[in-house]
Amino acid sequence: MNKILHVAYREFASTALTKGFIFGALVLPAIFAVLMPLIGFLFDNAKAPADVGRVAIIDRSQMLAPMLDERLQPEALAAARRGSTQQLTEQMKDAQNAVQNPDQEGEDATQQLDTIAGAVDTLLGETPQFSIDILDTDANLEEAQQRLRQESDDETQRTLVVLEIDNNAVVRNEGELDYGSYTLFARPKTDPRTTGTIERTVERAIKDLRYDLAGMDKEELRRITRVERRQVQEVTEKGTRSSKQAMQFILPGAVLVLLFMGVMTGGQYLLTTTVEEKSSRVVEVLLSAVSPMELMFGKIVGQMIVGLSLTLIYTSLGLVALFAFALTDFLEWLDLFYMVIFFLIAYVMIASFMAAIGSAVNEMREAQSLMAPVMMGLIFAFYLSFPALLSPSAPWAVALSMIPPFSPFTMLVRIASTEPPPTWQIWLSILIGIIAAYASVWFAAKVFRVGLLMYGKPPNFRTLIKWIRMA
Amino acid sequence: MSDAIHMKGVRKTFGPKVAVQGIDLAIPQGSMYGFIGPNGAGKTTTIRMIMSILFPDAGELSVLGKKSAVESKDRIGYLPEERGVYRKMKVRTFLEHMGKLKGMSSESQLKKSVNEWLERVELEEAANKKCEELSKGMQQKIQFISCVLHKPDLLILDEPFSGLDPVNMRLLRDLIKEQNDSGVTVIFSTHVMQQAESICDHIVMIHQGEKVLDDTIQAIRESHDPRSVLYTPANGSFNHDALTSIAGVRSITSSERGHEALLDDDADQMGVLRSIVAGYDIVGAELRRPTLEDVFIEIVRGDSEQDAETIRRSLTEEVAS
Repeated sequence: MNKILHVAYREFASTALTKGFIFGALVLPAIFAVLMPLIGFLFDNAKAPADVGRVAIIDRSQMLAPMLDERLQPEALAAARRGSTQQLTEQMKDAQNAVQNPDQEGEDATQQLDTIAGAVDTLLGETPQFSIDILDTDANLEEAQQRLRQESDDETQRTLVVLEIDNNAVVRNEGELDYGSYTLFARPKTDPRTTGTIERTVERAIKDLRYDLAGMDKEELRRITRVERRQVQEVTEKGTRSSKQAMQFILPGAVLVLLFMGVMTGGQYLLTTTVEEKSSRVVEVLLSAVSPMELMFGKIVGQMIVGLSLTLIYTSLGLVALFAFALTDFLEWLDLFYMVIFFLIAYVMIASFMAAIGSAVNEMREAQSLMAPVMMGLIFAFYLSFPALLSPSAPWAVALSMIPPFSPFTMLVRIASTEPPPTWQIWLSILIGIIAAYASVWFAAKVFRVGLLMYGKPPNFRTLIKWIRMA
Repeated sequence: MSDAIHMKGVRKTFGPKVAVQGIDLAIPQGSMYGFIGPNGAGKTTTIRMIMSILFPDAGELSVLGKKSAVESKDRIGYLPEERGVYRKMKVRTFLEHMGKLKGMSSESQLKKSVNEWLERVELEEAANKKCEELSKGMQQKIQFISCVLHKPDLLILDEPFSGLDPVNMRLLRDLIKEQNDSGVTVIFSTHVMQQAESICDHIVMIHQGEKVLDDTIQAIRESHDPRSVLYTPANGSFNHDALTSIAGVRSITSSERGHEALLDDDADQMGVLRSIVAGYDIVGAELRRPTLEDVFIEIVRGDSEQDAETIRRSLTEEVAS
């Protein structure tokens, strides 16, 4: 036992206590953690210089030009922006609920998201300084577009945008049900925030005019069409709480990714160190001190601690985030326990195969063909678990959560879902997983013992089976 | 005194290939045994079975009184033929790691022992270097230290001299002798017979998986006495055939060893030697002592002529390399 721990410690130390690993596992996420707010801050403060230039309007409807001339003036734009800011908070709240229930009122949600996007655009950048050129209603579009190709040293003389409004944008043509619209022609690489500002202004002006002509009170209309959307309230034994339905997808998804990452990391390192030990011929020196089984178990345990550490580091970061946002209500501590159990099952299964492959080949290049089926199994298990996020109790999900190597992934998703499986299913899955892990270790031990001292032609699966019989 | 190693009818196969067939062997404690034989003879497989790295298909095996080396690994030092080090690991860390794996629990004792051994092999300055920075010979010395650091009762060295220059070869030979003098049972394998001859007091010869010889050096020499006199004529016009007139001289032969007078089985060797020295124009003469190579070739020649040639070539190539 002592020797297994020595091997495990060396395995852990040589992998995790290296600059490369510490940088990759800790420093890099830490840098990201620092950079994210910084990027956010820079975004908030990266106000683009005000767009200065001329907006040419061809108003074929003959009704909008004066209104647009007024509303596209810098002062008017600034006033509109203040109004948008006030609406933003409420809209965000509504849109969040809409996103969480995409099936219910999808169109409405998309519209509101557009509004938010528009508002955010409005918030960014200085107020554009437009000068308006109202062209003849029958002006030639080609000639107008020519303005966009002309350069000028004086920015105020440069035409940024040509706006062509359809003749039926405000009043429908006789016999037609639909209104016309407008087209915006811009210089290449015009700031999208500038065109966005113009678009919103034009759309609002068109709507306002349409309301007026229809004899409707536009403010009243807005009040009528707006329904405040409140968050779904979950009724628990302790009382009611706001439902964060998105969390019900994010948590299992995060758990799945963490599990995959931990298993992959540990398994990959195990393969690499085993191949290294074999190719550097140090393995027989080790076998003079420890038995092949002690060596294999030591290595599996060592890399398990590496994978588990990595998973726990990221889980802790996730927990800190949950605490920070007061979302711990959604955390079932028992789930964390299950997460560790299923990590161990998944890891031991994959690591056993990695150890067997590592012992069988002479160098990493040779490991690729043997690794392919193992990696495929792991990737299938990972991706096939995602549909279980939406249908955790579907018969196929229940079946997958019992069949290794899918079971650790699918079962964890089901546990963290809105419809957790009955406890007996969880423990049955654990039992089956333990049996599968034991079988994997048995297989690996046989191959490991023979493979470690075999050099020369890399084996195929048939050879591995022969070794198992031989051992 | 009980045997350090006891083998009875030990057999090992790899698929259709029989690597070791029915070896019986008893190695007393404190002895120095040499396993000799050409490459592929089964020496390493035998040693790996002794070390419980491989397990026999049939037969009995005990090591230091235990049924398997697994139970007494901490009392054994093993330098395998396929040896290596952790390339990126520092020399001191490697030795300490191996010491711990060999059951050395006292940290201070381990450090002290590592320092002493590094000093002995004049590698104290390499302690904090990475193993990959050392030459092959230096690495081999480090590997030897890892075998003896924990003061084993049994030392098994598989081809310990391969890749060493003459100076380091002598140093290693002295260290091995020193271990044996202090009571450690030493087994080492080699395909270079001269090395075995110069260091061992007992030889086990393995050929095609079978033990073909198991005796002391002295007994081997006596039982395989070639009964011939090597001589060096004073000039090129020497009449070799004249020697056949001496009583007891059967024939004269010339080979890469030189000129040789082959004697009858009942001839008086010393009498013939004296007659050659006294009556002929020669600058030197001696009774030929059998080398292990001669013995080995003589034994395999019994199997088939082709085998003997193959072995001779293999041995010559290995010695040259």
